[in-house]
Amino acid sequence: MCENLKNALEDDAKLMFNEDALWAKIEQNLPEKAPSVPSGSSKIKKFNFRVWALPAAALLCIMVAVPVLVRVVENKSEETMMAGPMKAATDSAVSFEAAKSNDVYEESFAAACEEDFYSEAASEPANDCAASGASSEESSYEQDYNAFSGNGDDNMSQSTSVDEEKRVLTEAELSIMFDGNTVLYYECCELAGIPCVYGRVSKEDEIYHMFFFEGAEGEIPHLLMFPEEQFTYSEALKSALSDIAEEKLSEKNF
Amino acid sequence: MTEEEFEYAVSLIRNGDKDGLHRIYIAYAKSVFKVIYEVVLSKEDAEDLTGDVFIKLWEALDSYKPGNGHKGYLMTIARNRAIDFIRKRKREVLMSPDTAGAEDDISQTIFDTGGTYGDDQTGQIPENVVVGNLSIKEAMEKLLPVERQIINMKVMMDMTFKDISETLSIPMGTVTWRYREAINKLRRCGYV
Repeated sequence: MCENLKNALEDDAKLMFNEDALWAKIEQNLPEKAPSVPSGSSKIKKFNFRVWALPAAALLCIMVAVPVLVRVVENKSEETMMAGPMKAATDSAVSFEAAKSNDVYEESFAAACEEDFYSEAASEPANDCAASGASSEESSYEQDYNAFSGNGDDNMSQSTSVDEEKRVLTEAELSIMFDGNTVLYYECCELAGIPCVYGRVSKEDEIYHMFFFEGAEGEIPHLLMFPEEQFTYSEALKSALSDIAEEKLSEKNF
Repeated sequence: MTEEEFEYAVSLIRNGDKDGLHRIYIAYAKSVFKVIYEVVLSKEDAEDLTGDVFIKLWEALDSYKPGNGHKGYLMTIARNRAIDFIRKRKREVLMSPDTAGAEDDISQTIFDTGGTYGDDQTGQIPENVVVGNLSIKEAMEKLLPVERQIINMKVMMDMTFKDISETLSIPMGTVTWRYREAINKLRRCGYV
C-alpha cells in the first residue's frame, strides 16, 4: 500500500544527500577500534569487577559485621544466662552452700555435744553441754562465780592441786556427793583452802549451790547447801569457816 | 534489516570491523537522514548530524542490548542528536539578538507537534480537494512536522506504532491518529 510512498521517500532522500560521500566521511572519522580486544577487555573488566569486587565487598562486610555480631550475641547470652537459669543456679548453689555450711555447723555442734554427752554420760551426766541448756540460771551463777574469782580471794578458786582425773566424776559419784539430786554443773575447786566439789543441782524444782567436802578416811563427808536466792560467796565462805571452827570440816584431814 | 542481521552487524562493530557499521548505514542512513532533516530542516545540518549519529553508533553499539528493537534505538539516537543540535543552535542564536526571532520561529515549529507548519508555508489542504502531480517533497511539506516524522518512521523504517510512540514520547493513540491524517493528506496528493 505504501510501497510507492516508501520508494518516493527513499528517492527523495537519495537526492537530498550523497550517501557514498557521507559514508566515506564517516569512515574517515571513525576512531580505531582494536578487533575484539577493547570489547573483550571491557567485558573482562566488567566480569572481573562483578566477580571480585562484589565478593570482596561481601567478605569485607562479613569480616566487619561478624565479630560485632558475635560480641553482641555473647553479651546478650551472658546477660540472659546470668538473669536466667545460670543465675538461679548460682544463687541456689550459694544458698545451698550456706545452708550446707549451716547444717554442717549445726550437725558438728550437735555431734560435739552428743559426743561430749555420751563420752561423759557415765561419769558426768551434767556439765557444759547440760549446762548450756540451763540458760539464765547458769548465767546468773556464772556471773556470781566470776564475781568470786574477780575478787582475788583465793579461798574459792578452781583447784589446781586436784588431779585432772579427779575432776572427771561419774554419775554415781556425783549422785553420792550431791545427795542424789540432779547435777546441772559441777567443778572441783577450793573453799576456804579446802578442796571440794562445787555442784549446781536441781532439787524438787529448786536450784541449789552445793559444796561437797569428802574429808579424810573415816570421816563423814560434809556438804554445804545454799538455795539459789541466798547463795553468795561470802555466805559459802562463812559457812565453811564456821564448820571448820566447829570441827565439822577438817582442812588437814581432807 | 532484521534483528538477527542487526545483531550480526553489531558483533562486527564490537570486533572493530567497519563493515558492520556499513551494513547498518546502507539499511538506515536515508531514514536517519530524513528523521534528522524533519527536525533541523537543513540538508547540510542533517547530513552532518547523520554522520555524527553513525560515528556515535560505532562506540555506542558496544553496549547495545538486543531484544528491545534496533529501529527504535536508532531513531531515538538520531532524533535526540537532532534535538540537541537545535537546542545548541537556539542558545547560540539567543546570544545574537539580530536573528533570535527567526530562529525561535523555527525551533518552535519543530517542537510544536500540533502546530501549523503546513498552514504557514502552503496552507492546510481541504479534505475533499485532491492535489495531484505534487513531488514527494511538496506533498510532505503539506504535513505537520510530527506527521512527517511519523511517516518517515512508519513507512521508511517500518517501525511499529509502539516504537514510534516511545521514540517521539507521545501517546500511541496520537501516533496512529497522526499517521492516519498524514496518509489521507498524502493520498490526496497522489501518493499511497
